[in-house]
Amino acid sequence: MIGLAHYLVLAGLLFCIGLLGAVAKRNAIAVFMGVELMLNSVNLNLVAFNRFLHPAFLGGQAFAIFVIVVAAAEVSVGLAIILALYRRKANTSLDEIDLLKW
Amino acid sequence: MLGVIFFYVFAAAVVIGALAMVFTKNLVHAALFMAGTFLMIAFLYILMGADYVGAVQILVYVGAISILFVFGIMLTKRDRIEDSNRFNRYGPAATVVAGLLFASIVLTAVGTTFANAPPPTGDSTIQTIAGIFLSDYVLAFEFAGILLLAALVGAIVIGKGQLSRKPRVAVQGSSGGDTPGGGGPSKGGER
Repeated sequence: MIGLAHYLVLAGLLFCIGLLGAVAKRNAIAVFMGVELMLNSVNLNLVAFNRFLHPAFLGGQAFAIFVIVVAAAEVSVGLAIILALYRRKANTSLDEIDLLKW
Repeated sequence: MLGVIFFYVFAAAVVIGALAMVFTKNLVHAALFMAGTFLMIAFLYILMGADYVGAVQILVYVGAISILFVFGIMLTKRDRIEDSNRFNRYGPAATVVAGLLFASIVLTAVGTTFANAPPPTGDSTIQTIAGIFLSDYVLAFEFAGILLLAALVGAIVIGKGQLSRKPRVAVQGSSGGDTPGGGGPSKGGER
């Protein structure tokens, strides 16, 4: 029988893959993809906890939808920032975009 | 029994898609694998009885965010696209950190005994979630709307770029200037 631990291990693996993509990628858009993967794994955790621990009240699913809303807003603004940066520097490599690095 | 098979099939698809997304060298292929991963996660939601979250996942992630990523990739292409998704110099260290984090998560999740609720009845969750949004979480719901509006305006303002350019101002300043009729069309042409 599939229990909560199965979903937790799956979400943990997904989070770690997303972390690897977010930390170790050179392209800014690839880093964004890793962040999206991490947000998705957290959503999977929320829905799984709601399903297995407290299925009567669907607060976990509502929270997952809030996370999806924030992720959509983050992606739209983040891609706009990357486009503006590309227009200015003709580059999306994070190794060479270090204006704010001290 | 069928649920167990479905879980393992979808979980394997999710993990394979995520690994392919991170380790492929072509950024467009990475976006495609990301869309497939999101679709499989939506199936997992539906398998857990969360049909509305699964539908929102398909609509927002697979339908909108993946396409937005493809737009971003196409508009910022620089070198050859086959070589656009490289690791930086922190690749080995990040692999070690992610592996250690995954090991700790597995140890914690396997070593804990959780409650196991009975499977969901199969009713639609839309009415319950709508009731939660408009009663318990109504303030957060309104703030989510404000956040979406702010993100919409912010994305337009940031992505719009500069409106008036310097050569245009120079042409306008050299041609017009003495008659007010000459200033009218040039001002109308300026967006």
